[in-house]
Amino acid sequence: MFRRISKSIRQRLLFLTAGNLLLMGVILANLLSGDDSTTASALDRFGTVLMDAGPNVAPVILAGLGLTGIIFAGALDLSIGSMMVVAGTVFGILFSRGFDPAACFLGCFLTAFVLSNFNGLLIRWLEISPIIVTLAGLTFYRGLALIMADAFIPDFGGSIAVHDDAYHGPGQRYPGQILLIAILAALAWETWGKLPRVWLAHGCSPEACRLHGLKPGLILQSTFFAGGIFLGLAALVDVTNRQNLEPARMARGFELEVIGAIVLGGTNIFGGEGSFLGTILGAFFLYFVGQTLLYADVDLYYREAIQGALIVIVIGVDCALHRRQKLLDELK
Amino acid sequence: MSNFGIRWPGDSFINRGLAASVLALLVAAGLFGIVGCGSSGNSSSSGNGGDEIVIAMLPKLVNIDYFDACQRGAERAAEDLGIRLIYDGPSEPSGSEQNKFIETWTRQGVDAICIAPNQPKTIKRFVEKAKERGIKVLTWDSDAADSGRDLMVNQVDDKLLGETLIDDIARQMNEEGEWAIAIASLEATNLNTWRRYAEERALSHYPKMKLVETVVTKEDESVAREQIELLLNKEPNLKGIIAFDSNSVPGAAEALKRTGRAGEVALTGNSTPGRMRPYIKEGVLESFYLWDPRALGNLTIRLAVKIVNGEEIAPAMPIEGHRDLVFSENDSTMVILSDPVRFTKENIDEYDFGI
Repeated sequence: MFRRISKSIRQRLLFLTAGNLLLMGVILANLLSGDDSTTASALDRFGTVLMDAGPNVAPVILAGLGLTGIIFAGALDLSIGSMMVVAGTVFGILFSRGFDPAACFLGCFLTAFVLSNFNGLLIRWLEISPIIVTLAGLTFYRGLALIMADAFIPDFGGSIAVHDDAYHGPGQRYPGQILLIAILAALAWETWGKLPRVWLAHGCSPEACRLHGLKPGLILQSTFFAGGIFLGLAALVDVTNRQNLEPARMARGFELEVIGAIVLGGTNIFGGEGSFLGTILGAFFLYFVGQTLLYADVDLYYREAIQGALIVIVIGVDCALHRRQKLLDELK
Repeated sequence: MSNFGIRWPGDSFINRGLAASVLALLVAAGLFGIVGCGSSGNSSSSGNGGDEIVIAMLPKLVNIDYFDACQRGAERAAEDLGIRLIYDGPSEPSGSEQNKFIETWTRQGVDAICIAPNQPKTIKRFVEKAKERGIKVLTWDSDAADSGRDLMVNQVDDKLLGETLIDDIARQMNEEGEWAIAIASLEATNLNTWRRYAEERALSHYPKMKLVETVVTKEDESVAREQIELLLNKEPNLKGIIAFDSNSVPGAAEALKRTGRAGEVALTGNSTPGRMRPYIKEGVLESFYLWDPRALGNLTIRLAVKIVNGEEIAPAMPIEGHRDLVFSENDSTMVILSDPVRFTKENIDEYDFGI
């Protein structure tokens, strides 16, 4: 896999791996230095930090893997958060109408999958920029979710309470397992599969792909197809981890969180360059930054500012190092 | 020959396409013009040109259970009083989006605007504009004291609520140990006023209690659960949590339940009976607080109409369906709806706030 990705991406992956380890080290050091904690209890709590990380970051990584493929091909989907809201609303409607858990899970997954594919079709048919289509989807889908909830849930008052444990399996009992399988599948596909490379080629030049005998429209559609599968899983894990589903409020800013992880992971937002592994590491990095600031007792008012600044610093330092390396390469 | 019987210059495909686009744009512009005229016509009819009183009510955001309940109360009052109510607001808690609504209603010339501000500091200019047009301005749910508003309808006395919450959690913690705060945002005036009063009372009355952390939960129950789980892991000696908003309390309760710390860590705060019923029945927390949001919406409209009619709003004034008016001790332009209701396992089924 490493041979197939560019040197700059490889460098970013190493940088993020080191960053994640450093952040985990800071958390552990803070736990060990606590006044009233023994080494055993500090290690135990550090274990909890690690065990919680996967499930907590699962929706971002799952949706991120799907969106990474879309960005590989030079497209973008800004409506992933809103599509998750529609998926959650369908789940809530089915739950409120007494459907069994399996039907609710399937409804949730398929809704996100179908909407993602619908976005792909719209982009192909209308030949409009993906940013414009999905920017419209950002508000359209949330509105659609509210209309559906109002129409199909009796006395809908803004939220749908789901307090039956049977309906929380994927999000509460198996999020780590779902995430692990999805990550392994994505990495294997990236290593041995042809399609991710075709997406990257499309991201570099759709015209070159066409001249090579490939069909750019179908390539673009396939990214939304694969993205829909990952988004369906993300919606399933996120929705079934909530006790109350609020279409007006849930998943707000989710798309920005996901895009942040992807860009931090080294994927070029204009397409043609990137890696699934970078997205995974980027998502964990963002998660651990937030955790570290809290464990390090950083003042509440400074946390968000530092979080933003750290992202710029990481990308800035990495780019500066990369630029220097590039210059040296050119001199050779 | 092209469509519409028009001979296009050069008769080329490109030129025809261009001309068709221009024509389409002109038609669209014409349609927008018609729609625009229509809407401005509606605006004037919805303003105070006639005898009917028009009150515009702006929640922090729409489509959430708390403000939907407020809306139901407001609609009931509007129906009883025979006035026209415009209830609308942003789909997310945005100050700038709210200002657009205020500006539109000011242009329409409604009789009064009732605002639950998301960013109190930003509305002053818009309130001034409205008042220049002779529109009465009230705030409700959350205040913007410096905006020049005529009246604030507060759900509870801020000081009383903040102190009630800290007294409750202190009693459950035997007045000693570490406690933490969960709050939706650091911008919402009402939540942070309650927080300030709670913190001040903790310092002055409970010297053995130590505030160890404040987490921001971003108005999302799922974020609240995640943040509280993190907090519980970080602070193993934590004895109590006050959560100041309707999402943070169920999020914190779920975190206590999942981490097995229910009973060991006390929790209280403000939330809705509908969301908290399962947790309080399971014994995850002993109590939480709220007021009737329908009564808040109802009282706000009734007072707005009185102000529009030029009536003086005074203490002990009787208001239909509500207690005689009570004003804040600290602010003579702030009406207090009621005392906070304490919900417990025993009484939660006795109340129906519609949420």
